[in-house]
Amino acid sequence: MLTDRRGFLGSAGLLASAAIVTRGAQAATPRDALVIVREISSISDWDPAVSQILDTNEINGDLYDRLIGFDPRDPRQLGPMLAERWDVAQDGKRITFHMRAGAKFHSGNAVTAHDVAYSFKRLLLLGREPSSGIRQLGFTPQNIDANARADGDSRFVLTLEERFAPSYVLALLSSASFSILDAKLLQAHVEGGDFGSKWVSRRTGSEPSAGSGPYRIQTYRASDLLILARNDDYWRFRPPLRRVIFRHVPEAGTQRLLLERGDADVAFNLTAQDAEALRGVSGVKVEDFPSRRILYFGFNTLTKPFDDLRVREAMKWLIDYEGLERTVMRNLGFVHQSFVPRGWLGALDEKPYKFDVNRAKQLLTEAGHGDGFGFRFTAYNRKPEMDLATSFQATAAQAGVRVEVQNMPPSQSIPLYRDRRVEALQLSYYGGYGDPHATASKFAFNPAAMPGVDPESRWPSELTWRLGWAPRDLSRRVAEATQELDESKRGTLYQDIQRDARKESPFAFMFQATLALGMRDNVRGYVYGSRGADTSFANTSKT
Amino acid sequence: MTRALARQAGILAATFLGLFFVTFAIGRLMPLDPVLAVTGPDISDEIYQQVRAEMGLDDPIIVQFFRYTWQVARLDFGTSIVTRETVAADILRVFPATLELATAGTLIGMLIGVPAGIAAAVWRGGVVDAVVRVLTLVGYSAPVFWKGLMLLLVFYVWLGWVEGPGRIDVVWEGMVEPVTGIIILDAAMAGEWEMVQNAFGHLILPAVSLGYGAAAYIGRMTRSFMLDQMRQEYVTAARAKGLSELRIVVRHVLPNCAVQLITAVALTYGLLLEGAVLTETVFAWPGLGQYMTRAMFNADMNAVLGGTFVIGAVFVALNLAADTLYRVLDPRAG
Repeated sequence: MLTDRRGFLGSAGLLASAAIVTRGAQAATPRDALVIVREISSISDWDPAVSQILDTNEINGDLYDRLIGFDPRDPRQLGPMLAERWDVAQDGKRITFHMRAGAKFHSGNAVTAHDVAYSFKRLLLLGREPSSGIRQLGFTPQNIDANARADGDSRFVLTLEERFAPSYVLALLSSASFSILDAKLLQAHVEGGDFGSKWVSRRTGSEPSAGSGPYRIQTYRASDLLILARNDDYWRFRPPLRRVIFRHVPEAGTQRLLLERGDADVAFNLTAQDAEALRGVSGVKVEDFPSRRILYFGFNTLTKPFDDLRVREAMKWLIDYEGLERTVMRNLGFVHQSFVPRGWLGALDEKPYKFDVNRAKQLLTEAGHGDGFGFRFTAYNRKPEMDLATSFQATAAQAGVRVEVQNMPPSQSIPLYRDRRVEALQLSYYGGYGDPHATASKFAFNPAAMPGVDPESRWPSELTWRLGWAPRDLSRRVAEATQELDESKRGTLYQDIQRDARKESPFAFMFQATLALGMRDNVRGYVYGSRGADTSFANTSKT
Repeated sequence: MTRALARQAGILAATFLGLFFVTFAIGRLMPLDPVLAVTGPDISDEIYQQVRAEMGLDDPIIVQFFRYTWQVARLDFGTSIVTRETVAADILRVFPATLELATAGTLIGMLIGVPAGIAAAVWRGGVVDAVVRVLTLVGYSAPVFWKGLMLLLVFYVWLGWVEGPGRIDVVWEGMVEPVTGIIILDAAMAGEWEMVQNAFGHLILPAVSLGYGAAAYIGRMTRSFMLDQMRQEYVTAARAKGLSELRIVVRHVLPNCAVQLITAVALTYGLLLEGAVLTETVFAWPGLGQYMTRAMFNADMNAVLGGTFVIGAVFVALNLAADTLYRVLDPRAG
């Protein structure tokens, strides 16, 4: 019996002593590397013409360059990137880009106008999610060769069938979808007419990548580790850090501990509570960045009683915006009741809705639902989304509305949403590029409502169509706003569209998300912008 | 013996076939859309249909079933839509991490659970029994998530005794070419002893976290098996003969518990080899549990089916191993 006790204690002692000797000196990340702990399991495809996933786009932003973009040393203004300058024809229908001399891909190949033409063509013909932008510009498989062509090595000419506002076109071209890839390298890896997509998608390292950006992939193991190595020949500047290392750490609490301990330089997915707690920790800082993510509720106008706009409006008065901002969304976002994110052209700061049960009851009574009604509400099965749904359930109940919350992952809710089989749901949307059309085209425009288009045609890619809303006047105005050449007038057009959409829209816009990034206090120059292409770690350094 | 082996082979084949049917059916019944997992949500109907056809999902279900059967018969589980790697390559990458953790967890579970269970049985109703019962209850009931984070907070952040989450420090990444995929072994084979130490430091906390749960189960089982045996007449006879309590426990009771204990340990090991999702999540351990969970959430059916097969195979192998051990330990068996 004594033996047993010895065995037990002995094991524990052995374990403790082993533990003590395994830990070296105080943790610290390598001086020349930035270690970012982040949930990276959503990355599945590295091809910027195929993947629209936010995590991929943000990292691809430093692997690939675009014709125009943001300089991470001064990310306020959109400016030249691989195009040194450009000329816009008077009618706005032709833009000539003059390519930067001396820029090289990671392979050593020179960046030419032919690479741009090839990249745009593959974007269109691969036809995946990111191609929506190039299709919006009127490019088709029939006109792409003639309208997106290289004029020698140094000039790329973009011809538009319709007139578009240059600010819209340039913002679109700065997005990750329009990344410029190494045509020569891709052509050597084409499989069955895939424009080298399979090869670009499966990056595991060692081979040269097809970009020209400040970093290239050195090692990649899905949902485990991503190591980026500095491109020493980057044309713009030499990035201060030799390596950027992403470690997949799915749990926010673990990210926080790694940051506190100094084994990580940046923690990416902090919860509101972790961010709050870290603000007082020495050696650590928390920086808040506005994100372009808009959180909304959607009500399906094809299901009763949401076909009645008074009911839809009543729902907007049953959300406790301010209460949620102080609690569930604390450190995660701020009230934003329109679809153009703050900081973008045409953004509105107005907050016309507040939690008002009487107002909602009055609208419901007018609509013949004074005794309330019930419906199923589909919500994302994670925080803070689940909490938003629960809060709505409680506040709606005060007006006699019975909300049955069903939590599920997007992989389950999106097929239902696309098939118009949800009654109401909670989701969020990221504008793909920093122009108001990126969100207006999703929240106030339905292609099925445009002249000459069959109103019965299916548009499952469109959020408005999914909720059965086809506003003719607003759709026309959204399309026209892309053609307004005067910037100030254009901004006003979007503001008016947002105000006019407010009442009848099936979307209740609630919050614009913010991102609280935890960093060691010696990290400088990490740029996280709200316009998509203005996110970069290329100028990050450690003091 | 030949008949027994043939019977085993028959059971094995039936198990795999059943597993195969169930996983294939689940893949088709789950309310997830693998096409959207590939294309993203905002895709036109035209592209949706094109990708659906490319993925072979337009074919009649029976055609899909036979095609998949033929693939699996050649040990080809297809490609994961999440990682873009073959499922076989993915499993070869993630399974060693789980194997490493599960083996360490089971060892800790055995080393602590068996002696604790014996002590609790021998001093039944006493202080030792009470302590063991409380500790096993905590092991059972404390959420894995909480246990993991508490261990990290105390031993990694506050005391700094052990390494933190992940399998190895980033500075060691790529230093040693993977051979077995088990970092400690690979590093030892390469003679990188500092790396071995680092990997060991990373393994301790997740292994203890898992091992505590395993010890709780094994401890309770051991106690129960021991008490069963100690009520038997042969124990009374041994006591009447004047044998010491230590001798009765070590020489007579324990060998009679061995067969049941092996089942308990094999079952524990099998469960841990499935991949402990929560432990892997808290400790950022890139194992099979995380892989399967991600695959399920992303409707990555090739990965789900491949992973399920591996888990099934592990269970079958462990059962076979346990059966073989029964025969060695108990001449009456088989």
